[in-house]
Amino acid sequence: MIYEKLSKKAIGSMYVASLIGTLIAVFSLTILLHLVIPRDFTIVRYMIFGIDGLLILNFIVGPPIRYNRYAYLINDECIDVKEGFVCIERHIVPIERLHNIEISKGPVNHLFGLAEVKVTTAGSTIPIKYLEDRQAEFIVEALQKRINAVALKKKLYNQLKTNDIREI
Amino acid sequence: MEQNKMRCHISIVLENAGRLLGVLFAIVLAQLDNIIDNISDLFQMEVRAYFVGFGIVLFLFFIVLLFHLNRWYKTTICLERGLLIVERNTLNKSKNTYTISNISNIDMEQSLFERLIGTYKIKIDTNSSALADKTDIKIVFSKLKAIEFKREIMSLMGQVEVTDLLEIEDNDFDVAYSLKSIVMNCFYTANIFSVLFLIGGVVGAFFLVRYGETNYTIHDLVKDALGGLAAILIAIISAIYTLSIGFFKFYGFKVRRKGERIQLDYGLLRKNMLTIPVDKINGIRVIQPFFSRIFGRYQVEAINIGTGDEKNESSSLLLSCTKEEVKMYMAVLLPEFEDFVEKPIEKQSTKYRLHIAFNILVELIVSVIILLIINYFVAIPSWIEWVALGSFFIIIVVGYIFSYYTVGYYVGEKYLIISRGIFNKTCLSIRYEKIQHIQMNETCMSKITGLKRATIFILADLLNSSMALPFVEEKIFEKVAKKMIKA
Repeated sequence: MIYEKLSKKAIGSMYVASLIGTLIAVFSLTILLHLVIPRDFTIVRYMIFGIDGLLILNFIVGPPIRYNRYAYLINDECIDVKEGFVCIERHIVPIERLHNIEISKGPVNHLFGLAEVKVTTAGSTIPIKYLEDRQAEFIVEALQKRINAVALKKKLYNQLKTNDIREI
Repeated sequence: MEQNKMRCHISIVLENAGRLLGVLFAIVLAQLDNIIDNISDLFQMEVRAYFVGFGIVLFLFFIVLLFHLNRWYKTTICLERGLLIVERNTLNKSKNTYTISNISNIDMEQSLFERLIGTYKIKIDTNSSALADKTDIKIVFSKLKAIEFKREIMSLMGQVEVTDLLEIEDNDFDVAYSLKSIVMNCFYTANIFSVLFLIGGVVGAFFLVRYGETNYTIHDLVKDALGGLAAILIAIISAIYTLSIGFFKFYGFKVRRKGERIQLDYGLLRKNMLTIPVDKINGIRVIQPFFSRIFGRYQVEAINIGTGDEKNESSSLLLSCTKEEVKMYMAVLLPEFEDFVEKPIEKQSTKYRLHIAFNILVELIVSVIILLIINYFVAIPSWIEWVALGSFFIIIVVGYIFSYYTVGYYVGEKYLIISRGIFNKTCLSIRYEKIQHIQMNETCMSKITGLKRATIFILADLLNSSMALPFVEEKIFEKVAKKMIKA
């Protein structure tokens, strides 16, 4: 099985998204440190400095590791997505169970010409992130055709089943 | 189309407005102390004030009654061209259209009030994970109209007509539980903590009366603290009610398989008549609460969208019974899952002990940090710190030991079994074709032990839609994934 890797644009989007998140978190913690926590609560102050350090470390090393680990595979039978930073996740969804396909774009992804495809089953939703626009549209179209074919097959099967029961 | 429009039975107005009386009663109960205190002063106070208060309550009730009457009149139900349309033309207009083919369950329920009036509540659930945690449509009709409506929907759903639950005799059921079995079921399913709480309360009260303040009699207690006594009584009654709730809920429990449907009938105060289509059963849950585990009893529930999503509803197929009885009854009710109780559950790998040791270490470090922070703000005597830390350590170690021996899995030909729990044990059997998605998580410890956490997702209510397998090797995850794709 050969997994598809993300385009180089994805790492830029990851860095920008991570920068925004880190800035918001560090700014909130700084406000907390200066306005809420008294100066003599040294343990709590050290803990906040520690969290700040971890957030900055996550911003520096997180995106390249996430980029290298992210991989996806779409074949006739299933969708397989691998992702993660400290903990690695792998999702496998049979194509036959798909109910809905959605394409979405956040402002950061829009800046880099990237999109996200969300595949929904009866029990969960799995995103395939950081896809180039054209690639995302191609995937949506292909999956949509497959869903329609499966729905038609199910409808025919149910009709045959109902007819059988009625005959009995 | 106007002719096809129906309305709920008018008793729904009283039923809904009656809930306000319940709220008022709860408020009165909460203020019992003050009311009792004031009773002696009643004749010294202006009686008129009480009548004004009563008048306000009555007016409020009248307004609510009018609101529900208007809502009842302007809500119509219509069946046309394979669609069920529920339209409400009140201030907030709404029109809900449900496709009949998308209906998962159609059940009937009767509360105590509905029994007196002679109506039935029809509960309809659709195949939707978004609406899985509540009943989608509730309609109240008179008995005959309810049966007719249910039949019409079922025929539109393309289901073969079978005798309705209201028309079948007790001996037509495949499994019927006697009064003794229902009482025993309450015992086997009792929550260990409720039992300990009740025993502790009774023993504590006994010692208080026996060895406590000798000159403080029960008479003094009644005289001085009537409200307090009422609170104690309410606490004891609620503890007993918790333990006996199963009796009221499952009184007269009967179940049968008819064609492609399972029919259930149970309940004392609230009568439930449920029908579960077999193809909508996404899995089976075998539950063994603490006492059931000790006495070798099993309860079986169906995992299904729609059934069991209400407080008083249950998707139980079998109440407490032995392993042999489970095999015998399931062969009749659900042969699709017949032999699942006999399957050998594989325990977690011994490598998982490393995960446990790591988790205990992390949890202890976190609790030490929390204690240090608390100690920084509030000076705690060191012996309390050691006792707290020691108790926490014992609780988590005992929890992990119990969990280690409870958790397991079985990857079969047709279905996957997941066993989980700590003091209680739950075994879930899921057919591969019902698994929607599988997820694998690799933690830092996975790199050392090679064990990963797999989670499966199915169409069920929020609490049951994801089910974690124990930590397994990647080849097990691959095996389950392959079976899910091929199913």
